[in-house]
Amino acid sequence: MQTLLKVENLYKSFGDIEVLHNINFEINKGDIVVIIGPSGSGKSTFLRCLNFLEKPTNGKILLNEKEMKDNLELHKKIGMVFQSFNLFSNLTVLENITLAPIKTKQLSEKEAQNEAMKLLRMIGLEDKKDVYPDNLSGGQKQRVAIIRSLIMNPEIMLFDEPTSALDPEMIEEVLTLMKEVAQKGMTMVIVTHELDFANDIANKVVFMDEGKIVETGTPTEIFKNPKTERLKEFLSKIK
Amino acid sequence: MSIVDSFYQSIIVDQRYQYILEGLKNTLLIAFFALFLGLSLGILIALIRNSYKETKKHKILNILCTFYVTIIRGTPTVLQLMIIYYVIFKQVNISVIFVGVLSFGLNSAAYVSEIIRAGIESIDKGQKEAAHSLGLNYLQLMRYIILPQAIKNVLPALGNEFITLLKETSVAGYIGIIELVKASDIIASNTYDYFFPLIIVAIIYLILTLGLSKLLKLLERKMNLHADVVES
Ligand SMILES: Nc1ncnc2c1ncn2[C@@H]1O[C@H](COP(=O)(O)OP(=O)(O)OP(=O)(O)O)[C@@H](O)[C@H]1O
Ligand SMILES: [Mg+2]
Repeated sequence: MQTLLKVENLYKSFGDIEVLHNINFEINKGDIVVIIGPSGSGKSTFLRCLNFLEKPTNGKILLNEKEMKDNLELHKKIGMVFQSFNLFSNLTVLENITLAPIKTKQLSEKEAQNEAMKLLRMIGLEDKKDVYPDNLSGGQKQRVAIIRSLIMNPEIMLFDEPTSALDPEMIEEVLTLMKEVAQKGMTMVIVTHELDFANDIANKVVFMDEGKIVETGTPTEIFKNPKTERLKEFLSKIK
Repeated sequence: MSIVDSFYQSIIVDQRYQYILEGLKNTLLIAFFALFLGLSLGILIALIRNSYKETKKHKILNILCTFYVTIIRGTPTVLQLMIIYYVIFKQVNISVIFVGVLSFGLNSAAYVSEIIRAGIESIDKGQKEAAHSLGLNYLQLMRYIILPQAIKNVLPALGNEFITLLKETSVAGYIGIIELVKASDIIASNTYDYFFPLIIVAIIYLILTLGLSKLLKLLERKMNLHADVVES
């Protein structure tokens, strides 16, 4: 299999506090990686280092074997979906989706609109195209955020707890959409506390604790046969 | 002297109302163009200072801007006006109205920049991060996402600044511009009767400032409209 993203000896500190310690990690094309771990273990920071929302203190990140630099071309290749949706509140749903492809000259205005409408139909929100984000439910916001990222045709999509800010009855619609995106072959890295979903969707699970990757494996290895005490403890607390 | 007589002497005789019209014209001219200069330059300064804060780029420009804002805010407007006219443009033959526009515009820019900067910082950083991960650059982020929201949020403060600017142009008489207050002064020094010249000019200012705040209220309402659209 082809290595898409490779992380080598990644360190990140905020001031004197070391948040990530010597992370080494590989993602193949089409992988669905789920990252789990206790609060404060560095999951978000790790994810944010992958698209330069945080600047690593040390280490290398390689995309397609080339070292990544913090530039706009690369940002386009790595999509991100946030816990708090982060839709642009001054723009309509359609404008939210088409702004980036148009302004970065990835698509013409016409193409972007057609593509956006296609994606909106896929998530059943075509009638909301002229609505502002304030008038959407949480689940609708997050689904729009996902297709806003999708339209840029990224090589990897990062998800940082995409359902944690949602009311329980809206979690399912977002998870369903994520599964659809996964089935289309998208490479995804997901931080989540939804362990059943992780078990379903992931082909690789990473357990982080105190800024380190403690255990990596298939869902079965991680959830059924945890090796380390720390993972066992974590799973017992969550279940 | 009866009140009718006083009005007649102050306004009608020798077409003295012409002074007031001239004053009104100059006041509006200076305030209008100074407002645009102040707004454009103010946004530019706000962007430079914000971009330094976020990216550590443009360090020298940022220092210059900070210095500029400090000086403008720390000295009286009338002094800035006089320095620009009597010191900086001393040797140059230049339209005094232009000096007025420049001086009040430069002054307003400092205040506007602080207002806009606060507006930019009031927008949650999530939207910036989303724009970042979509490959938008800093200027696109500001132009299409942050500034529209920031300006909407600080519109009341900007309105206050515009009204202050309009009223502050009343010191332009110090460099010989016939604006409203200077006009009333000229009339009164001919008639030795201050009542009507001052009252009329006061009423004109009141109408202008009330009109301006009405206009800004309308704009505010228009910008807020989309938030009120009910879900269909
Ligand atoms: N910008 C920052 N400045 C200083 N410390 C930070 C910053 N961001 C994160 N941290 C610290 O880094 C550590 C890891 O944070 P991070 O958000 O990556 O954890 P997490 O695993 O995502 O936790 P959670 O499950 O609560 O989201 C925490 O101790 C946090 O306080
Ligand atoms: Mg987190």
